Amino acid sequence: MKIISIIMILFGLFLFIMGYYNRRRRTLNEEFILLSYITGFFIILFSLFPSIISYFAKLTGVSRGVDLLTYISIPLLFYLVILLYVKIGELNEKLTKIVREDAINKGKRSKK
Amino acid sequence: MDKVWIVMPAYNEEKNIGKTIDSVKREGFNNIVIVDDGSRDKTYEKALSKGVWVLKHEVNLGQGAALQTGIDFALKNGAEIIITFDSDGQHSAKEIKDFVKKINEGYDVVLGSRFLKKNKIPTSRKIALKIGILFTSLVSHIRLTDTHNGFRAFSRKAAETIRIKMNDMAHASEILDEIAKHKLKYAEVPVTIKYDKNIKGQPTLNSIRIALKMIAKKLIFG
Repeated sequence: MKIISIIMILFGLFLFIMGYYNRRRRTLNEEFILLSYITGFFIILFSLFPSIISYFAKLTGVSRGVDLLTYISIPLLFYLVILLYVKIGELNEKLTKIVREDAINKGKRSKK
Repeated sequence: MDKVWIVMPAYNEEKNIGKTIDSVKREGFNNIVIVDDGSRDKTYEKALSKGVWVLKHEVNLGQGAALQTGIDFALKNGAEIIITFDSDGQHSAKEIKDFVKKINEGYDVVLGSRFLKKNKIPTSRKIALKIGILFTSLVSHIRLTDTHNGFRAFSRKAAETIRIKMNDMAHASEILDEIAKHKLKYAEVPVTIKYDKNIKGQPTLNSIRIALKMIAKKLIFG
């Protein structure tokens, strides 16, 4: 087994552990936990059996398995960034509402 | 005068806030609301010592958010005319009455323009502002001589219609967009702008960022 395969397996396991840890602590959305599990699973699978990814690469007209993974991961990561951006926007909107209500309710005027 | 409210957003303005409040009070306006946008200095305490309404954002949200908070508060307290005024002393309180006069003439929104009066404007700032004016006439289809001036007046109807959703400095362009969208009657009045090293104003580079944001908004939402 190549060193890179071992590193990738360890990374896959790390994703599993991270998913499990966040599920217990309820610190991550269900979708993200599921995504960690699925990504971890496929990383381990492709690291153990690289021929699978090579088969899919040929099927889609890409010369190497690694290239196929790169092509898939770029739009996937981009989608995740958008998802996070939307989430931040929603949180910002909620924060603005809370801060505004608090400011108006606690408005003060000292007598001079 | 009782129905006129002055809204002043403030962020780290402990040096100027006191003097600015005094100048507004001298003109006979007593309904003043300061929105301290999460300042880390003594802005809140300084403003409170002046006997005006002070609202505090526990976190810094941006000038747009602070303005909307102040406007909401003024509306809640029965304001008929709302003036937005910078807390850094850049504007002249003596000119508030010109805005009030225009609103009483039947305009919904009155916008201050530094280019209708002789003002000493730094060259880099002038270029950025001129680009902003050109950009606004293309994007918002509103013809103005100054587009990013914090000195404005809103009638109650306009203040209730316009909702500032952009928390940062992009709110200036958003307001113009809203005026065009709701077909509000607007006018410009000449204003004096003081450029001083103690007055922060808006960094020129920020204008480019705002322009890009507005283009993106226009492309996506139309």
